[in-house]
Amino acid sequence: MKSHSKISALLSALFMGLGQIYNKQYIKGLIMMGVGLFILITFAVDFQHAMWGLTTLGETKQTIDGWDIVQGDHSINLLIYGLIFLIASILVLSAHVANVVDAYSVGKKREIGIVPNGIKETLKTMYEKGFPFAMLLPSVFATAFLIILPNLFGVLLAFTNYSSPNHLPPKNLVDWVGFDTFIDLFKMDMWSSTFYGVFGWTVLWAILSTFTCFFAGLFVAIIVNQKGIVFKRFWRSVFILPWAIPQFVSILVMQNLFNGEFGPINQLLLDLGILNERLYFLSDPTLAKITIVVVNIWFGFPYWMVLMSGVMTSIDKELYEAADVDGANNWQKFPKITMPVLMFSTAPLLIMSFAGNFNNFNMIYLMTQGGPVNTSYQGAGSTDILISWIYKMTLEQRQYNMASVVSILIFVIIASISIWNFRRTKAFKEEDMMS
Amino acid sequence: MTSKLSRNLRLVFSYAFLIALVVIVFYPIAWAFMGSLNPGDSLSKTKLFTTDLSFKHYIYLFKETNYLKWYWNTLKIALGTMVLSTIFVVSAGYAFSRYRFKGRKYGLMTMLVLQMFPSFMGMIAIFLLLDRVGLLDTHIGLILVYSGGGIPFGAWLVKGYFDGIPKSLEEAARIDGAGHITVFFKVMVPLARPILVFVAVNNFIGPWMDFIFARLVLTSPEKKTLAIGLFDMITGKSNTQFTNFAAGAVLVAIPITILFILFQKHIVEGLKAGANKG
Amino acid sequence: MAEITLNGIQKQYEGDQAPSVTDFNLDISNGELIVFVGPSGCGKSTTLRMIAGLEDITDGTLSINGNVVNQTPPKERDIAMVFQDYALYPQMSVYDNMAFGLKLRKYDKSEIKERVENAAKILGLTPYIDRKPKALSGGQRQRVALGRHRSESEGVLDG
Repeated sequence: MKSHSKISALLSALFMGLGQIYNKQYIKGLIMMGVGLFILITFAVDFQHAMWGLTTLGETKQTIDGWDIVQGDHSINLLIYGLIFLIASILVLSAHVANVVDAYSVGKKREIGIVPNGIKETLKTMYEKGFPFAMLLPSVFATAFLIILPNLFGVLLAFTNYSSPNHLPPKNLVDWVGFDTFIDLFKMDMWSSTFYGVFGWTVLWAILSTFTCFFAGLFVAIIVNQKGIVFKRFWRSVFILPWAIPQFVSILVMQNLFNGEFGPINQLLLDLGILNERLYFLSDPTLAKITIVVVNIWFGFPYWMVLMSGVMTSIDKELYEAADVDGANNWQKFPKITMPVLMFSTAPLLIMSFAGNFNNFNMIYLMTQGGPVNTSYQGAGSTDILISWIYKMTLEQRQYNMASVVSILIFVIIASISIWNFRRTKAFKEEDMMS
Repeated sequence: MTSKLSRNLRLVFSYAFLIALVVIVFYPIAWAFMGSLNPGDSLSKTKLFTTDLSFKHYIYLFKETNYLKWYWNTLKIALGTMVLSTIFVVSAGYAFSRYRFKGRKYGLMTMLVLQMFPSFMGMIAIFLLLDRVGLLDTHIGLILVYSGGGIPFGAWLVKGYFDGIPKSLEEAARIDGAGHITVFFKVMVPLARPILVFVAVNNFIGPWMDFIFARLVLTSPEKKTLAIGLFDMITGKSNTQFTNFAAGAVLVAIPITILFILFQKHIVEGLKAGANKG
Repeated sequence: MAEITLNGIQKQYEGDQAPSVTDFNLDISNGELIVFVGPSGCGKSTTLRMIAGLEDITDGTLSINGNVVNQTPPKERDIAMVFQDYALYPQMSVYDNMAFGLKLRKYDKSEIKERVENAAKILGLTPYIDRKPKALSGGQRQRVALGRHRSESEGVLDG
């Protein structure tokens, strides 16, 4: 007996669709060969050039010949071009593997005497078995080119010297430099002092902003939900406003209210006699940090208030009644019942909120744009957090490689926090989730 | 009767606190609102309590700037993002939840890891990529960036929701004679409505707020979105435009705030699910 | 009307060591009532699910009315099944739940109405026909699940 499975798999590996034709699935095989040919023509020729570009990032510099500029290689275009091809080739490769597997399994069926499907049945099984893949296809494409590709590119930049002033295409070439940029960040004084300074403030900011909002929200929820307070719904709907109004707009308004020169808050404090002279809320480094944290409570407390109110109203009445029977008073019920339930149900959210504040670009950038200026920092202001520093390095200072190194560090931090959080929560233990 | 006295005292303090908080919450809102109606140009001339009001800043917005155009641009982008991202996220989330196939585990892991990259990391590449395919400075390009970026988080969220719907419903439908598509549209999608509403609303609101990617992708002035337009009004060299900004801000904030409050329940539930399911 | 034959049916789940069902043979003739009894985990549900077409059959042949249906999708087997949790569509009324299968099989509107109303009468569900499953008692839900598939020729599996 001939080994149909092996022969057809081999043929398909040689060229897409050949094995299918060998298996007498002529129409299917021809369509597949057409696809294979199309890929070969459009793809294979340029592939080599793309890979050359990806590994060398170009070899010819731009030169000037008399009055004319002779264009050299554009390293960054080569890099992205190479990546597009790399990702496309992974997609092509998986299609090719599927083609070989298909040829093999049809061949296998022939060996035990099952007649291969005609085109009609093929289409039917394709629909039956292929449905989930069809559902995934749009997202896979979008993810591959709009998320994976850009982030991969971002990661790779960390290992190049792509930065102002000496390595900006098209004038100059960019080269792979390994871990040099990482070493610079930690070893070069101007970079490392900025990094440690900004990092320290980022962590402090994330902790302070998370906890102030958490406890403010908790406090408001307790007050509103007390026995004896009327119009509970009214209070809650008013207090939700700071969350509902587009943050982008309200932060910009706040920035103006706290302005040292003409901000009405200064005027108010002067009029009330609390201050004797104007306070420059956003121009003094320490005061600016305090101001941001305090203002952030305005934005952050409603979220927690809503969550806590939800939990509080859902705590079983019987739990409190049982405590009453046991002779507990209000002061005992709160720490023994309410608080543990609240903490239990909001802990994962607290951690995610920490991660969110760690990267809370809008709050910092729209409030102070990182200012006031800090002369001992390299390209960052006193209130800059890592993410706003990255933004400045990318769009204002063109320190692309360093921005990318710092991004990778943020990724490591956020990933560790999220994974730790994820493992604690139920989702991870559900058998189906990760298997 | 001391307990009654302390109870009353507690309530008095509580109400005092609540009223104070209402004042604090409304303070910036009132300034923005009064700023927009103030006949002067700047914040320093604005008075919180006055009857001297004017609509000249609103008129200015409509007559002298491209405000309406920006509004229309943003609405288009928001609707496009809402539709496209909902399609992406629901189809992927459903496939991940309901089918077992090769590579599923890796796909889920990838989606999880991708959520953790800082959003600016891919900025340069997105710019170059859109440039290469000719979508730079187009609204379609921006819609793609927004809806693509939301896939990892959204797909996980929707997958988690579908996981909670009993498998027997879909099996019953298959025995009833439904194919994949009927099961999906007639049985599963109606049951997943709460999470779909969350995804749709969330993605609709996003483009009204973002000025980073909008500024990256859109370069010509007539293609601007509201967020860039407003941002430029107030962060230029002079801050004299506060009142115009305030008028523009009020007109954006009112519909978005109403939308948020209408769908508040869905948004809270969605955020909770997002934190618990990764 | 249906006859079902199981011939050497075997089910091996991927990753399990021992098969869940081994060499199961059974003939069910038309109109016969069969009951599977056994401790939990012994393969009762798996067998039913294989007959319905919800699980692939690892080995052996399953025939309905003499035709091998191992590869036939559930909807073409003309079978009804009552699930342990009844699996009623929560978003549809009792009427729509019972009519869903008939609608999908492209029956006439008037015929669907007649059949569903008839089934509802037999099962004592007529007063609840417009309610959602949530508003029914456990027993009523079970009857809806029974009444949901009422084309002429089906066999009924009760999971």
